[in-house]
Formats: sequence, C-alpha cells, structure tokens
Amino acid sequence: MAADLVSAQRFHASDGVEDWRVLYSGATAHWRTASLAQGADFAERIADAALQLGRFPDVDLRPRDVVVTTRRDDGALDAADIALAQRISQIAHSAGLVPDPSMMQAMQLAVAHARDVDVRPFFEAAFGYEDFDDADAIDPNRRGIPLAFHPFDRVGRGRTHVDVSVPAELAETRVRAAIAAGGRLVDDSHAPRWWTLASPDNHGVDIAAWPDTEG
Amino acid sequence: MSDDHDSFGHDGDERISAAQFHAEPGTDGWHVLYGGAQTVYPTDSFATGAEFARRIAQTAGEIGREPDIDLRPHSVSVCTARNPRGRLSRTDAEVARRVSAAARELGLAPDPSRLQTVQLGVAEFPGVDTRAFWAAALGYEVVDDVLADPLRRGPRLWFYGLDKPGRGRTHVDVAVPHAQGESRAHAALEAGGRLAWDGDAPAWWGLASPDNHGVDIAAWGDVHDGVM
Repeated sequence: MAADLVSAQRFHASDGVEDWRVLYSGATAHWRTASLAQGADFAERIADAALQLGRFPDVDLRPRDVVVTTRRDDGALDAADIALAQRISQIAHSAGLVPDPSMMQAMQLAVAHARDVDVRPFFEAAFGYEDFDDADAIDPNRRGIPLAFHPFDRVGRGRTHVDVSVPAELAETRVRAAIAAGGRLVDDSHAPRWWTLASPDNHGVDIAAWPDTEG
Repeated sequence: MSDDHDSFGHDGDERISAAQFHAEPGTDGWHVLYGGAQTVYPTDSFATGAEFARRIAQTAGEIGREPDIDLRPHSVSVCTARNPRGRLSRTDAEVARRVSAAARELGLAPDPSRLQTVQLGVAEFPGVDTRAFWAAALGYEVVDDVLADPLRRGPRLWFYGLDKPGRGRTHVDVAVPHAQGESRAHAALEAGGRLAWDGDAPAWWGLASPDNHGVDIAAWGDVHDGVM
C-alpha cells in the first residue's frame, strides 16, 4: 500500500469519524432527516466542505435519509477522505442529524468467468458501465450495482454470486438473520471477515465485514 | 398493500402507465425504468448539483412529494417514484415537470444515454420460496412481487419460477430508455455476447455473455401501456 493511502483500520483510528463505516464503495455514513429539504441543505454544506478539501463525495438524498460515500477515484482512501468525513460529521451534528449505521450497505455482483474468457467488455456494453480498476466495472453515475469479475478454474461452486458489504459490527447479525430465513452456511472458515451463504435454492451470497476492518 | 387491486395509490392519486407518463406534457427526457420515472443531468460541478438538489427539494416540497436524488461530483440523477415497485401517478409527472423546470433555470439538460437501472431476476425451483432468505441477507423489504432496498440504492430482486434446471436461471435485467434498447443490445453482441432470444424484440432481448451468463436488455417498461 502506498504511503499516502489509508487502511480501514487507520481510518477508524482517526478522531471524529464514529459515524462512518468502510464498505466496498468507500467510507460511508447515513443520517436520518426530517425532510428532503433538510437533506438538500445538508448537501449544500457538504459541497462547501468538499470544495475546500478537494474531495467530492457521492450523496444519496432520500425523503428521510442521506447516505454519503467518500473515496478516491481509484476506490482507495487517503487523508482527504478522513478530513472530509470529519467535516461532514461536524456539519451533521450541528444540524442535529442522527446517524444510523444499520442503514448502510454496499453490494457488488461477483461475476464468475472461465480463466481464459474475458467477459468484461460484454458486461460493460450490456450495462453501460466503464472500467474500474483492473477487474471491476462501474456505472459512470455510480448508481447501479458494481460488477467484480473473478476467474475460476472449474465449473461448480465459486460461481457468480452477490457480495454484501455491511458495517463490521452488524455482519454476524445479518448472517444469523439470513440463516434463520432458510439460508445455509456454506463456509465460515473466514469469519468474522466474511461468511459464504447459500439461499434455500443454492444461490451464493457472501456477507463481508472485512472492508470495514482492514484494507 | 391494501391498495393492490384498485387503480389509486395510497395518496388517492390516479395511477398511470409508462405510456401515459410520457404523454403528459413536460416529461421529455424522463424514462420509466425499474423503480420509477427517472433521468440524469450531467453537471459542471458538485456545487451546481447541490444547488439543483436544493431547488428540487423546494419545488417538489410545494406539492408534498419528495423524489430521490443521487448527487454525484458530475451528475445529478432524480427518480420520482416513492414506491420502490415504481408505480406512477399523475403526481410523478408533475414532479418531473417541476424538476425539469428547475434544471432549465440552471442550464442543465438531461442525458438519458447514461441512464439505466439493474434488477436481478432470481430463478426459483417450484415449491421453493427463497424471498425470506434474500430479504434477510440483503436487508431488503417485500414490495408487492419484488424485493427492494428500503433506501432504493441497491438493485431490485424479481423472482420467477423455473420448471427445470438449465437455461432460464438467475440473470441480470438491465432497463434502458426505450429508444436505446436496440443499440444497447447490439453493443453487447459486438462485445462478444450471444443473442439467446429475440422473439420479444424490441420489447426485450435475451443475451448471453461469452461464457453464458444471462443478461436481458429491457426496453419495454419505458413505454408500457399497462398500469403497474
């Protein structure tokens, strides 16, 4: 890791980022709002902070919620993300907004492909996505679910599945809920970093805590 | 929901089809994709986007309807539907009109070529109901016949039965503006895809990736004349 990049662990060791969790998508926070107008007012103050710090986040405004995500263009975190997260939390607290980490998650679709087949151009063309990193594809407007391509050697398990990145302290609860709802625990040898589940019909879903604790 | 079988939403507003939405004046540049009527505006800066969001909140607030806004460094996407199932009423058209007017004031124009929404079509064997699992694993909620992210950020899940193993398995649906369906399907074929089913074109195309993953390009929803 380059010297100026920041791991999830180091991010969390900073002061004033208690509202934030690190997911696949970057450092993320959620606050409840009384109205869309309150959220939009929050967004304008975020815009001022972003301009000062030179780091521009994604802000999802909903009628009663605001979700903010910050990261570098390459998906990593650095000191600017910490500074922006601290500043945004200050703004949120001064506005009396209440954070709720249980409303945060990021998903990706992990597309399995044979090792000698490059399927990314097809998926990018079909989804209207663009290259991200050396193996992923994203919506240029960062609204649609990101695609992560992973090669596998043999047919069978390890196929295309859904990855769900949640706040680390909520991962085990999520896993238990999914098992209680009829899921099967396929592999917990990587717990508490991630759990591999199967639906009652054997579709793969991984619940990941590791982005929030490592990286 | 108790209003499943009548033609009015819970706000007493008459439901309309995608075709009726497009027939409403002032909805140019909007498209009806999974999850409702939406469009995307490229912006020159995050600050412009934030100002746009403020104006949207103000004008939509005047009629008591608050759309979803995805504010990005270089774009603002707006979706009118409050119901994650995407049901539309006359009020959605009015929200679209007001957002379009706010955009014009700021010199913003929509770019539907960058607009699409994704849904997962989860195949199920007969007699197996996997919804409770998916709702728990993804933190989603049941909205009529789909599962949806309560914050309308992640893709919808739609479930369908399959009679035998093999084709017809879980796949990804990509909804695009109606006029873009064919060019999107062609682009995917040129990128190594295979045309698996064109019997329903130009409503939708069934494609397969170079190693046989199913991806449907859906253009019908944007112009559908049925009321969801």
